[in-house]
Amino acid sequence: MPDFDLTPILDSWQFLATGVGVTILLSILSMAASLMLGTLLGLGRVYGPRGLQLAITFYVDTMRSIPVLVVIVWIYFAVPILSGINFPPFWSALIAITIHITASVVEIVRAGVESIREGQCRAGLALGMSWPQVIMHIVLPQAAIRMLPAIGSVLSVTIKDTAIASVIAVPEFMKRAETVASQSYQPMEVFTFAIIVYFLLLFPTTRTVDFIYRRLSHLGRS
Amino acid sequence: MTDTTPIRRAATQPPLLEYKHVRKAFGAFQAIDDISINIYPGEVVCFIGPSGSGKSTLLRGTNGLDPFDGGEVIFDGLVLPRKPSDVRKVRQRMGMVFQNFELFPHKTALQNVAIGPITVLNTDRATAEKQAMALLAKVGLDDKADNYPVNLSGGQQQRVAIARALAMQPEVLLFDEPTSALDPETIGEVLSVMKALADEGRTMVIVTHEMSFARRVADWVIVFERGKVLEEGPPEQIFEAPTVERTKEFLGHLGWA
Repeated sequence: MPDFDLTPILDSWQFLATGVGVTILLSILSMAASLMLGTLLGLGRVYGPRGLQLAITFYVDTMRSIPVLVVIVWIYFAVPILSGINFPPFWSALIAITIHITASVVEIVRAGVESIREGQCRAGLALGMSWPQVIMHIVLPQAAIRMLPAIGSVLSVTIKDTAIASVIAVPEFMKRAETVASQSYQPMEVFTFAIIVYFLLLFPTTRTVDFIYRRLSHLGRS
Repeated sequence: MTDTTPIRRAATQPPLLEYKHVRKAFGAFQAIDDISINIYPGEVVCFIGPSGSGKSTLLRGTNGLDPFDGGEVIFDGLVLPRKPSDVRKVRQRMGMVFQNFELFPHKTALQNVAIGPITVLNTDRATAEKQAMALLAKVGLDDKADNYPVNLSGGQQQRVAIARALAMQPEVLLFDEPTSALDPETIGEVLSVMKALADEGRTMVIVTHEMSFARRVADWVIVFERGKVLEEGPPEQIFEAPTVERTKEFLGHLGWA
């Protein structure tokens, strides 16, 4: 059993901590963007015209068939050559993770919206509501509650996926951990520490989502 | 058999609701086969008849949620439009109560009643909730205003649903088998709320299997069979002296001799 030497971690704690900050920022931004886009596209997938539905289905199926690593690398290395537009690493990672995670959110929103009993919409329409009002006030709030467990698991996937941004040198936690590990020649300590940090980040997150769901689930039952 | 036409007291005014040659089919099944009937202001009209006779389909077509294939519905002199934005205007003036209540589970009893005026009539929240509270009191549920539907019994949910329909100040109330999904012990509380509304002189169209309620409350009863009107008349005629043999048979099955 080798000694567990924490010196490199203690020496570079600020360097690592800002990495955790970047990881959290990237996670929050890509999750927020994916939720907004995914909700819009999910509604388009259910209520939109046939052509739009097909286009969204094609997008979802495409993203399901491509690893997020490939999307990140493609946006960072290929898009500048194709379009002349250069995104900095953080933005490339944000865009890539967002378009990848959005596809999962679209499917969750679709399933959530379709699970709401038709009678609920009829009750709203019978009051004289328009379809957009029925969706906003009746369908989406109930669907959102039913979607919570699935959104929670997408959230944890998103946080984990941000580690892949290390391949394009986004200064997030995994990239920083790799740097410290290679400079100190102590990968065992540093990467074990990385595992613990990711666990501490994710475990409370999934527990919190689960807790919220258990408090609200009865409001989504019709 | 006499051929004296039964007296329909409300028929002195023009009808509030007219169905003219309406038809609807589900595949090969003709659910409504050329029905023409009138509903007059202030009347309580009960639709009765065996399952699949078209009475619920007729009621659901009234506000255009399940449009008819042919014929027309005329409400207050206006043909029910087909265009979604126009039909909404008419729908606001008709209240609907569903067999399965269809309360919104994410809203409290009070919010369920207030949401129609807030979203559709742009009533401000405070006013809408004040009105909603008065309506809940009217159906005897002001003490349950903050309860979510999941914490209400079936009978209570249906009373909230009636209050929700009333919140839009409708000119006609459409009831689609309002007590069919209820436990026997809660049917009475819903029927007595409906009786009170009838006593206020509201125009009500009720699809029901509650024959004693129809006998007691209806001004006019329409018997349906196989998508057609079998017989219509005042409840005394339908229940005591039906002129059509099939009406006798149908009521006989339900224990009305």
